[in-house]
Amino acid sequence: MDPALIDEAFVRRAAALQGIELTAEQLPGVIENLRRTAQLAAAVNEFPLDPAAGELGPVWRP
Amino acid sequence: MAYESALEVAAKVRGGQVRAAAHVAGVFATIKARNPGLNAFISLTESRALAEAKAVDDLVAAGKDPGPLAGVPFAVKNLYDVKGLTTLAGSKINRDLPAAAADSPLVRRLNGAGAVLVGTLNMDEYAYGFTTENTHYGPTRNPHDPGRIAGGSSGGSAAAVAGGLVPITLGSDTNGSIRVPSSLCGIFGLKPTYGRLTRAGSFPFVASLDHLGPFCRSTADLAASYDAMQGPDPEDPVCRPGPAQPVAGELALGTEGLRIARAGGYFEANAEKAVVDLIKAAAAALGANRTVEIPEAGRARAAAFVITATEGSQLHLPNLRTRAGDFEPLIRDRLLANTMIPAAWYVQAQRFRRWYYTEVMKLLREVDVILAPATPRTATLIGQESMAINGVEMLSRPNMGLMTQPISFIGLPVAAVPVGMLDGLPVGMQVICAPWREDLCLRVSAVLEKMGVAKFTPPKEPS
Repeated sequence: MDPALIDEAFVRRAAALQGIELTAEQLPGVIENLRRTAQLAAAVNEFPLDPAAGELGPVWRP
Repeated sequence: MAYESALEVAAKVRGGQVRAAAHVAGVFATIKARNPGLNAFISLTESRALAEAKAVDDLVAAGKDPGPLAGVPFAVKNLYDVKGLTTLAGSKINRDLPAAAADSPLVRRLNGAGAVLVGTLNMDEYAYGFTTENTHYGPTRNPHDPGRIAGGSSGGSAAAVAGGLVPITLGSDTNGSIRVPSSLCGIFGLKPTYGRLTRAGSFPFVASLDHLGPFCRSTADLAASYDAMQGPDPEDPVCRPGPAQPVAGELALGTEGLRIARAGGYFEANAEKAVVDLIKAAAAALGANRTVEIPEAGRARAAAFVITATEGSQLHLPNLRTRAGDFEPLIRDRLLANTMIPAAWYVQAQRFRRWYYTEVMKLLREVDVILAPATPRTATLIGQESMAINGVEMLSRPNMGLMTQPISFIGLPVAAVPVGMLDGLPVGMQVICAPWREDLCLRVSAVLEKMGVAKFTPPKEPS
C-alpha cells in the first residue's frame, strides 16, 4: 500500500469498519502512525516468499 | 546493604545470621526513602511481605529448608497478577477490573523458593513502549540520571534493581522490554527462550512475542531466580513441557570451546560507534574475532513491528471502541491506527518470521553465541522526542528497540549484560544463543563478570 493512500477519508472509513469513531484530535496521529506502519510493512511485503511454504506456528525448537 | 546480592541475603537468612523479617523491614525503609526519586514502585505489599518473611524465619527456626532464595525481597512489573491487587499493566482502564484472585505462577514459584514479594512496579501502559514515560503514574527515572528514562517497558523493574531497592525484579519482554531497561540502567537481565517461563497470570500484550524474565545485579542472582521459575505449566499454551533445565550449576563451566561471534551489519550500522566499541572490547576479552551478519535483521524488526501493532491493538479493540480517551496519550493514536492494518500485512510478517528463523538457525549451527548491542545508545532524556544514531535523526521512543526486536522476533534466549559506561551512563550487550540454550547465555555473562568486563556500577548518588 502506498502510504500516501492513507488519508483522512481512508482512516475514517477503516475505523468505522472496526466500530471506532475517530475524533478530530485523534485523526492526525492516526494517519501518521498508520503511514509509518505502512512503510515498515512494505519492506516485509516486498520480500519474496511462497505463500504455500512453511507453517506459521510460533513454536521454536532447537 | 542496598546493593547486597540476592544470594548473599539468602545465605545469611538460611544460616540464621539475619532474620528475614528484619531484612524485609529494612528493605521497605530503603524503598520509602529512594522510591520518590525514581518512581519505580506503584504499590507496596508490606503486610503480605512481613507475613512471608515470618514464615521463612519460622522454617529456619524449625531447622527446615526455607528455600534457595530465603528472605530475598523481590518485586514484579504490575502486569503480573498479585492476589488482592488489580493488575494495572500501567493503565488507567484496568483500574475498573477486579483484584486478582490468585498470584501468577512465577510469583508463586519465587515465593516457593523463599523469596518475599514487596510490591509492584511501573511500566509503559500495556507494555507498549521502551521508555516508561507513563502519563497516568508518572515516568520512572533512571537511577544514574533522574532526568533520563529508565528504559521500558519494564522500567520500574530495572530502576528498582539499579537503584538498590531490591535485588530481584520480574518484567516482560515482547520486543526488548527486559533488555532495553537492563541496558539503560546498567544491570543484568534475562529474556529466556519464547515458551520457557509460563506467562499464565500476566496481562498479555502480543501473544506471539510475549516473554517473562528476571532482572538482577549479577549473573549468579539471575541464574538462581531463573531456575526457581522454570517448569511446565498447562495454563500457558506455549510453555515448554518437560522438566526444568537448571543453569546455576553450569555458570562455572566457562566459555572454552564455545564459538563466539559479534553481530556486524545491521547491528553495527544502527548503534552509536561508542556502543559498538564496547561490544568489540567485550568480544575481544572473550577471544571472539569472528563477525557474523544476521540476515535481514532490519526486515525482521519491521515484521516484529507489524505483528506487535496488529495483535496489540486487537487485544484492546473493545476499549478502543468505547473509551479511547482513557488510554495513555503516548500510545492511543498508535493503537487506533493499528486496528486498521490489513490482514495480508500481518500474515506476510508471520510468514517472514518462519523464513528468518530458518536462516538464523543456520547461523547458530556455525556459532554458539552472538554478541550485539542491547540498545543503540545510552538513556535519552525524559520527554525527548527524537535522537540521532550515526547522524540519522529518528523518533526516540520506537527506535530504542532497534537492537532487540530482530532477536525476540524468533524467541531466542538473550542475557543482557552491562558492559560499560559512556559519559556516566550505562549500556548493555545482548548475549544471544540458540533456543533453549539459556545456559550458554549465562555462562558467557558469568565469564565477562569474572573478568570485570561486565559489572553493575552503582549510581553515583542513590536517589
